[in-house]
Amino acid sequence: MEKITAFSIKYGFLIVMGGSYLFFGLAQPAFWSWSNMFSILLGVTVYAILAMGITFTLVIDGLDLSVGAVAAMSVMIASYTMVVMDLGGVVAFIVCLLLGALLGLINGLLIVRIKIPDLLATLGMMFLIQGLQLIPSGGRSIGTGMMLENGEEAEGMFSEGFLYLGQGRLFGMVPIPVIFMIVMAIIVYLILDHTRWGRVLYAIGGNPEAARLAGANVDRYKIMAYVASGTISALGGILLAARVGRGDVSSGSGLLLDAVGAALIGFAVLGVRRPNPFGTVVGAIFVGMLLNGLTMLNMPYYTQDFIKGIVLVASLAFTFGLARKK
Amino acid sequence: MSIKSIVEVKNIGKSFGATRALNDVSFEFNPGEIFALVGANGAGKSTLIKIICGYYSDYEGQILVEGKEVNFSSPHDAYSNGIQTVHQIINQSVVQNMTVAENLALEELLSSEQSFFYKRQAIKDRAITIAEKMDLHFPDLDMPVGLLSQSERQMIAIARALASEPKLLILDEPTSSISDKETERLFAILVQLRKMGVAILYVSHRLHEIERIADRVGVVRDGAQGETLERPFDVKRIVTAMVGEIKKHKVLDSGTEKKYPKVKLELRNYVIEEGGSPINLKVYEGEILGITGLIGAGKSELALAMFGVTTPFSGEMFIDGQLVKPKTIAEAIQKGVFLVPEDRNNNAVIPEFTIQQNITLPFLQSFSKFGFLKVAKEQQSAKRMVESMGIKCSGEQALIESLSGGNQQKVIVARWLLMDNHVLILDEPFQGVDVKSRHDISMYLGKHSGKRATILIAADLDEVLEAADRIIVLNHGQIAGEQLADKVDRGELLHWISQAEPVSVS
Amino acid sequence: MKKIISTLAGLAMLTGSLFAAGLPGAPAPFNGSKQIHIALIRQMVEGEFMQMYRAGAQRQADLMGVKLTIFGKNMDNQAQANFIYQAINMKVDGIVIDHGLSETMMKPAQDALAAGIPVVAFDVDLKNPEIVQIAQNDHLLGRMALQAMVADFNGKANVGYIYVAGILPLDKRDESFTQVKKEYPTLKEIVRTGTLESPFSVKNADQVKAVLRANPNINAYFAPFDEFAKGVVMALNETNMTDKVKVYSADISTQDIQLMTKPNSPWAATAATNPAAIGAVSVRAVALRIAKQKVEHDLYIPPMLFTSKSLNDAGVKTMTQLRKKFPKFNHVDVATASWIPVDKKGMF
Repeated sequence: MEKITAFSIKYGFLIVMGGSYLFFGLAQPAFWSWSNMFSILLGVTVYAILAMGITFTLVIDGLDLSVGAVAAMSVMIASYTMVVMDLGGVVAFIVCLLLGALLGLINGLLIVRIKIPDLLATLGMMFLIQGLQLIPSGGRSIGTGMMLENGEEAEGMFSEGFLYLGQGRLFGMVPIPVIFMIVMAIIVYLILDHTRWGRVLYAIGGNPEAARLAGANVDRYKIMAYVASGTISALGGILLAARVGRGDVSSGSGLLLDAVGAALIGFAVLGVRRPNPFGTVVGAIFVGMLLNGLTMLNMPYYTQDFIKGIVLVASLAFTFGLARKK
Repeated sequence: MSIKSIVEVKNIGKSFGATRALNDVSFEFNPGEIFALVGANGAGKSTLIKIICGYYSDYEGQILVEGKEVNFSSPHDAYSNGIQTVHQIINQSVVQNMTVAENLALEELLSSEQSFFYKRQAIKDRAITIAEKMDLHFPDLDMPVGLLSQSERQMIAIARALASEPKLLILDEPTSSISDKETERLFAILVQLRKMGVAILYVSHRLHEIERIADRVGVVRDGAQGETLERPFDVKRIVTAMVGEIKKHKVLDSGTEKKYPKVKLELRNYVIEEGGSPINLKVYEGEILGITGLIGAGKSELALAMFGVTTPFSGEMFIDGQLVKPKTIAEAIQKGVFLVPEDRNNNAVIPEFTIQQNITLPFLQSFSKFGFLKVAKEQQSAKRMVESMGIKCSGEQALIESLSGGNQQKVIVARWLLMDNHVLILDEPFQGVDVKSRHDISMYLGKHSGKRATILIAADLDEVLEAADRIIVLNHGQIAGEQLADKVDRGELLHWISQAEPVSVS
Repeated sequence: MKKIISTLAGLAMLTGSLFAAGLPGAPAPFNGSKQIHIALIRQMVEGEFMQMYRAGAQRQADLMGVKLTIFGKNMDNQAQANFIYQAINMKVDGIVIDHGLSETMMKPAQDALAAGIPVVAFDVDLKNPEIVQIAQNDHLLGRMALQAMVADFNGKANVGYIYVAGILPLDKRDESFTQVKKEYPTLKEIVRTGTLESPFSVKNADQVKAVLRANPNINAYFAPFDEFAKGVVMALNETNMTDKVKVYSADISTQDIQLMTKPNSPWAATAATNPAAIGAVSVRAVALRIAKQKVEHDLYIPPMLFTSKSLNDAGVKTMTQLRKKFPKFNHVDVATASWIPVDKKGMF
């Protein structure tokens, strides 16, 4: 009995995931095609990347609610840099990442120096950034040909290379954003699980006072976690901008909740009961797979959030209920 | 005892995971009597109190109220059985932004039997009745409690507790946050309550107060039943009961100076905080220095300053004759000053980590290259420590949470013995540690004292004497006396520990 | 949850297995040789307009025995792009793209064409000669409403205006406004505001209230989106100015009709197309492409003007009644063929 419990804690989630995979494929054979696998992965890329940012902050027992706003800001800034300022894709890429890091730094300083609780600080920053991103373009979406303040038309364009980040495919098959997601997942996994910095971050999440008395500069590590989160979110925003190809004011909506959901579902994967990059990505893919499969079965749009909610609550119940009895 | 006890606890026991916090403890509380409960930090006092006031539902043993066994599953059960508690942190007992009247009549205000609407006058009347019972007079019942002094707030909490005519009133560290004058006022009320026939359980570490006010004193030691003292007693007797008889003397072949010729650590005019007394002290290479004293004597503060957690007000620390002034913990570690902090659970253990991860935490830099951990090397070192310290576990990859308290402490000590160091400070390393593990750790420290200076801090004399070569007593932040472990004079030690105003020794 | 899923899966398979008998006189593959499957890929799914569009598309598909799979996640542009690839994977026979960003949807649409799947697009310019473009005639829509204003005020009015730049239909209606202002120099724009913060009506009402206080000389309001018009009406009600200002708008719904037909309603006129009719046109157009029949590259849906007077005269209180009394509203004679059944009554 104990063995069964231990087994289901560790592999229960993956078994459910495998079962869903079988079910959808049987009901709709197109589900099993390679190209559909890649569209599932492509669909969750941005969420999964933001969720990895969140994972960094969950590890230190915080939570970054501004990831969606940072990503949306990154979309607007990338568009502004290329379309209005005509500075090209490379500059846009770098500017976005730096800005993401800066916003993360501000988050970290608010939390560590001014001692605003994580949730409140990042919630405040979320509102701030959502407003801030509208200012450069006067609240309008940014696209080639838009009217500028001086009455001229914007002549800059999204560079080919930049768009390739979002729309290109490797070997005509694997979408570039998916490659970004996988590479990011590996990097985050290596940092959190195989470097001393990751170890200290987990220690801070487990017992900050003990980590401090073991010589860790807790404040600095916390700030770094938020900087990482901001930078990763900005990367998510860059990919989003490259996919959408336009600085659309509405592009950030819904990003946050799906990303938080993925990171929390990640707790249940392998039953580790703590934030981890592998679980985060698998959690995001599971949600993407469910939505893909259900859409193929013509499940109406308004049931999607409901399904996501069920998965999230079930995972959390599993994580904190069953796994605790261990 | 001629009076029949009103509340009795029998064979009470309680474990937290693998840690045994309380074992087979029994006391009786009589009406019209002030019973003082004493014990060192971590001895199990607060666990016992929490059981009696219904905070923990899963305890072993019995609680009898007027001879009948009761089962407490919530604080409300204790309350309805006539046990009222005024907690140590007074601000948890009163609602700051409510008025005096509302606070006095809080039980009525929150009672579900009251009507839905708020009746201002009824609340006020009730408040006056409650206050008069204790002969309290508040000039303005509508004043927010937040504007009152600490002792006034405490009076409100006590008055409210008495309103329900409790059989047993528990006062947990009632004088910890009030002035001497306010304390006098509290004592006057306690005497009055005693006359009224209330049984009072008085918890405090201020032994001089207990000497004055208590009728009987019960002692818990290391989670076990200690002596129960009847009058007459004095502070010295209480201290003896708390920190223990000296059971054995360590036999050393000669005096410290001869055995340990080299000074490793020296503190010169070390003042921890402004207005404190300077500490001068030498610790020799290979020596274990025990520092003892009551709670609040300044032992932990000294450790934290040396470890770079706080900055001393003035004075110097020398290691091997070199001035060392750590500004951060990381710097202290780097300079070879290590600290096993007190309160393992809050200050040392990372609960989700394995034994290995807990041991190597401060020294990850030595186990990594370009930031990447060399897990094999890390595991090897952790394994070595687990084996040499005799940590009972399924392996160094086991979660630290799966270990008993004593073994968890061994892991934490192993953490700080992993790397060579100059000064190792252990602050209350035997809190919540079973006798066997305590003995293991002491032996290990003795055997591996090597070239370092070791400082062992404990309030319990037995604990200090088990490992130390020399003992220093701190009292009110200054050194009250010093003895070699092989020539211990227990009476003198107790005198230094318990004297009200320390006499400085030259 | 498993039960729900399996029921749904069962239903899906059931409808999939019910091969249409085929439409009489229809060309292949609508002659019953194959179950036709069309994907409708949407940017916005909320709001009355979007729901009516969907209902019209579904009704047209049902009449033709076509399976319609609807993809949509509200305002998630990258998800919309993804849905195209998902539809390609499902090997649908045709794709309707309903709104979206040109920049985002162009490449996926191209990929669908490359996979041999015909594409039609409503209200999103995909800049591809192969893709049929369906649009409400927004220039005309704006002009119709403004002409009603010109008629009511003899070409002389102080106009308050609500506009948010960057939304294609609003931009086109704005172009009409610019034109009309040139034609009638006495039609003066006094002030413009506008926000797309939800709820649209309430947030715009807040702005309009301030405007009315600052500019008491305003006597007409051009609010070329019905949610904006609701905001203006709300503001006028709250400032007791319903008799001083008339409102001209675009789009129509049951709620709009009720506001317009209230006694002394300030909402004078609205120009509208029937979203359900557009939905039906979209499905018909993609069906014609699947059958390899000729379709114009640009299909425009002409609007109709409704005034509070015309609605009151006809005694119309709801959309259902409106469809009965104004039958021309229900069906647009665009993208039709003899073999395609249509629903002229619009009773869905």
